[in-house]
Amino acid sequence: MTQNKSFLKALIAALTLVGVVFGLTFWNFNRLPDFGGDFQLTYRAQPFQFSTEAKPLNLIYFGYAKCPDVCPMTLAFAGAAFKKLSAKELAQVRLLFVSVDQAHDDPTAVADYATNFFPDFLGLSGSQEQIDAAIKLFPATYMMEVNPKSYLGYSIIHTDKIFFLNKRGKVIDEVPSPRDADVVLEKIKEHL
Amino acid sequence: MKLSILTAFIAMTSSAAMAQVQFQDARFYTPMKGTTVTAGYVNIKNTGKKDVEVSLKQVEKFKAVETHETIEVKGQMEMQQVQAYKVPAGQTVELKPGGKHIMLFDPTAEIKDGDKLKAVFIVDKKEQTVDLIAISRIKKASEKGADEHHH
Repeated sequence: MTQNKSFLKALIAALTLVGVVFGLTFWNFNRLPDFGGDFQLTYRAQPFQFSTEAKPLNLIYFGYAKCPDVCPMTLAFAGAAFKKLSAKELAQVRLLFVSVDQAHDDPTAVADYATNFFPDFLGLSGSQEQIDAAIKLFPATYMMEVNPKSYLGYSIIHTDKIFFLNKRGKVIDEVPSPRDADVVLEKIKEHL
Repeated sequence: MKLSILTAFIAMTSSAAMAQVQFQDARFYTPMKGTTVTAGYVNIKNTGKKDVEVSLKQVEKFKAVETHETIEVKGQMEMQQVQAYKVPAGQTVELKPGGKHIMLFDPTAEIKDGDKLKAVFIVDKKEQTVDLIAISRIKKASEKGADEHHH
């Protein structure tokens, strides 16, 4: 009888251990790598420090104002999602649009551009060094491609992904290539 | 006599090529503040029995226009300029957000939602004029089931 009890205890302990190990492995496998952090850019030519401006939930998207297709599509869906939030929810969340086109997007234009999609969206610019330092914190890249045959003379290849950041700027989630406002809305509500 | 018959024949075949291409749901996004670039889309339907090439020559109230295609390469969005879209016989080429699209640069006048602008396409070397309607990108994105490209 005592032997059976000891065996049962040992079995429960072993199963618990297996469960914990399995759970930790699963969590570690599925969690996002450690991306994000504090960065400095400019908003309407004024310094913008993320750590002092951060809301509890922050969305960030890297693109450029002269992008005709992908950037405005993603931002329009994000804007449509924000329009469905309550005033209380809106106080907790904000989207930052960072232009990676330092040569052509002036700070005022970027700030104006972002507000097309939602009045509280912040369009950020900065020096080349600031922009590069900011994007390096995230699993995102951009590359300017010169095209003399095009009227603009260039286009920018870039990541099409909205990152969700906590108040410390750490990436807690992401939505790649959103093509529906509800996808963004659900993620926002999930993290608020 | 022979020359006039030949001329008439060429004219007939050219107009037949134009007639076989229909432009449907031609629209562009109303230009927004903070940018000088916007995009347009259209469905190009070839009801004929031979393939055709379609390019864009001009759109009124814009300084320049181009045709492009957005492609996804390893999570990166890349735009490639194309000179013309090939529309196979009996098929429709759909220009839509996140895919093939028209680029419109530097509006020369104010453009409002609902405005109709004349766009001149080249269908097998012949001009074909199409009305492009200005629509609000913001309103479109708020519609459930917007016609955006899904990956």
